[in-house]
Amino acid sequence: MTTPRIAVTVVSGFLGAGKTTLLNRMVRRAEGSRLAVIVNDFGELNIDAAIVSEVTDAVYSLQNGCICCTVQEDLLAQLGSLAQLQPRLERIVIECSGVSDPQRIVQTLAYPQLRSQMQLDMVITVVDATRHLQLDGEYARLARAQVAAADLLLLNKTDLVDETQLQALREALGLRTRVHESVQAQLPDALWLDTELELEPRKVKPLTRVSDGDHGEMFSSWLWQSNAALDADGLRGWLQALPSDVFRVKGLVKLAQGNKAHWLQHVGTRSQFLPATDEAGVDTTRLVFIARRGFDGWEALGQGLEASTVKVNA
Amino acid sequence: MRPTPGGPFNLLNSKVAYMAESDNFSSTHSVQGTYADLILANGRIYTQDLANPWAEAVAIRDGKLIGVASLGQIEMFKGPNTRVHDLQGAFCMPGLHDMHTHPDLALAPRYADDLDVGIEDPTPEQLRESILAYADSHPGDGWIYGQYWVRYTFREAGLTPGRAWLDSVMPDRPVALLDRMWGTMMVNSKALELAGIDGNTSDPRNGYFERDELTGEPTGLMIDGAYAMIHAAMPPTPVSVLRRAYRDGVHFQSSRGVTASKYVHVCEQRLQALKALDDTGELTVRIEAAISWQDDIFPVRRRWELLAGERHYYRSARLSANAVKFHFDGTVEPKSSYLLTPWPEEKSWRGKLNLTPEHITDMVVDMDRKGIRVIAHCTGDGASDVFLDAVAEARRRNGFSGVRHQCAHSTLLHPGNLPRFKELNVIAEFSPAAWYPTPFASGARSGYGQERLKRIYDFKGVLAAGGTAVMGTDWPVASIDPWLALETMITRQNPWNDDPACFGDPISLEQALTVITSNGAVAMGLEHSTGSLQVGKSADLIVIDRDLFAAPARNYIHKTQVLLTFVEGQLVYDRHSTLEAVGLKAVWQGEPPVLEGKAQ
Repeated sequence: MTTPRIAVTVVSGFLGAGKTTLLNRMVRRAEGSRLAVIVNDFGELNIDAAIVSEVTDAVYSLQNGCICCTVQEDLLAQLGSLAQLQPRLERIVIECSGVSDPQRIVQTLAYPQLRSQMQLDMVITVVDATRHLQLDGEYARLARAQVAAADLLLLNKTDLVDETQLQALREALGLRTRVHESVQAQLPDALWLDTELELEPRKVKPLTRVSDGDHGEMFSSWLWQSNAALDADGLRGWLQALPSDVFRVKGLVKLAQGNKAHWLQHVGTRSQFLPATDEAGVDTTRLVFIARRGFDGWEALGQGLEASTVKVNA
Repeated sequence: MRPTPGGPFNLLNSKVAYMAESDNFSSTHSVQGTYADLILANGRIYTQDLANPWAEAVAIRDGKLIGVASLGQIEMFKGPNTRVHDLQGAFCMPGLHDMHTHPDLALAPRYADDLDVGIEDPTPEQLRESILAYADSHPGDGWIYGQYWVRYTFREAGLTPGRAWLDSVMPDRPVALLDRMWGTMMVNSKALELAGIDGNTSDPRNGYFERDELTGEPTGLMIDGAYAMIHAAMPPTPVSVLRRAYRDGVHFQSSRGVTASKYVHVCEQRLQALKALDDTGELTVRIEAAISWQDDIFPVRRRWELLAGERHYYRSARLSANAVKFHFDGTVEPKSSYLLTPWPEEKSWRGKLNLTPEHITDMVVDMDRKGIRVIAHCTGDGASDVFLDAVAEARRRNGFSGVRHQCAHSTLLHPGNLPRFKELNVIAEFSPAAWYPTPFASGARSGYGQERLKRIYDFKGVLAAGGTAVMGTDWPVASIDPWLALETMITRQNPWNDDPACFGDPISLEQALTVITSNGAVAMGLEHSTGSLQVGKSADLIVIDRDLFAAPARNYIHKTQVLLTFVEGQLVYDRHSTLEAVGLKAVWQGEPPVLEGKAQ
């Protein structure tokens, strides 16, 4: 799927949770892609000077194509100028300060002057398994706000706590939230990069397994397709009720209301619709779901979508 | 407040007597007494008059100084009915001038009877109960406005904040609630309807309202500058609330020695509140009120009537609304100050000018012709450059109108503009928010970059070029206490610790006293009647607990206590009720009211 807008990943998490480790992995993973990373402090990233190919105006260009810069006071203006870079960026990762509510940045991204150029892909909050439940006062409130703003929680340092503590954390983080448990902030590509998802129409069945085991054997993805239009409210209800094993849903949907096609992007519990231009095939709805491997609710998901279709003669 | 009958000192029980007694204004042929009404004797009196810098006594008649002299010379003014107060060597000086502040913006929200949920992290259920309880105790169909809600409790409850949720709680009365982060206002459908906001409405420049992606209809979440769209539909802050806010403001200022001040940003409601205080003798500070040119802080419904002439209905010796306030540019934190060269680490970003230079020029010329002072918020050196150009054009077209326009904040000035303040008769006003090191100011420090910081708040540069520099506390952005500003003008250092860090160039005590007294009078257009202790001028003076020249300024001047404050010869503040012994009762007595938390 191609979209003209730059995907934005917001990385949040309390001081010491492992954000820098995660960002470092993202910078190294950028090989060949047009990725910019905005961090609180470039020095913290500990990038080997040998791989920095160019520095201009405190913007560091790395040999692998990744661009790093330090967050500016006016994020709106900074994002505006990053959007002008040629060749165009594919993705921007923004690190939030450890003691801030990422909602502020989420709101900045929705400013009209940015909306046409970039879209929030997801908010990832890194949670420190060893300290999260010990925070109190204003720190606890901030950590709560960071967790609530997240589309995906990376529960980090799980090797440093026992099973009882882990269970307490899972309960505290809530059932609705998508949680990935990790050591050393290891985040599978499939959870934050979506370049490999295939949306080619298939002939055979409405629900098709697209891949299984390709993503480090952790996730599998399915494609659902239909020629019928979907009822917007029905679709929204279906999205809100998705089980927490489903991390992402994306694709092209034909909605009955206005008979228009939209790109749908659903991460965690948040959906975004973007009107599709007529280059894409408007006559079919094609959605790809990505879920934890071993998830067995595919048939039910497909049936839920069937129930939301609007029959032409109805 | 006008002078009360029987001379300005007949203030015992004046609140009761006021309405029943005659007026006593002085004019060309009105009868004057021979002797002083009051003599303040045996003081260390700093006059701010170059020809006669120090005196021992002052004599006051009908609100004016008739003698500023030695003890021996003052005897001639003493008649049979003259009251004499012995200052016992206390330091006396002209009253202070705070040329930019906002007691209404700081205090009115505290006094308004808005909904206060009062829970740190209210759940949606607690918020619902709070709204319903407020509606029960405030029946009718009026607005329910207040704070706070938090997004994360909605997320945790699996709910989406916005009009749908709020409609389920309160469908038939308009509701607007701020979140604890102060980035979002949640409103219901009724509020959107009254504000005339629907899917076809455009976003403001400095914010937006969230829309349903499929229908384009507002979801009821108003972000940043979009608040103003809702505020515009709400009833204005009641005059009673504004009056209480201003009353506490002037009470504080009088008890800290301020005799003249500018309340920058007013509307018709605010002028009514100020006039109500004036009419009852409680406007104990000379106030210049500047009518807001824009609606970005609160709507001004009668702007054009006020500017055309309605403002004169509020005029008295204590109150003038012959001024207008503009927001030319923004502030340092969001890098919206308008600079002549790009911000640090930016290729081309110079900040924002809120109005086009043509708009600014035409309106400065027009206001100047009407005799209205333009007070222009200019934090960046680019904004003040545009403003000075506009004043130059006004001078070219109108000649010197007698109106000195005022460049507010003047955070950064281009060195080439320093002489233009004198040439164009423009007041350079500086506000202390970031002129000495504090955690707040250090943020500003990193924002502007090192090169610009060296010349931040350039009192010295303006004074050296012969210009008139004044001080405005800009409360609640900085403390309303003028003594903090006075000390830090001289030190440019943190007043509470011994950190050697210094921001910008300090000025001398004598220069700082000029800035805060006689230069203030020039900025008020009152240089012939106040700002120094000279025969013929109004008795606007203060008596304080220390000799300002007796010790180094740091950690000394800001601790000054004011003992007595006089405005137009009227005793407006008497800390220890000392003058009751000679039959004078002050409007305000005792400790200054506590308006703000202890600053660090």
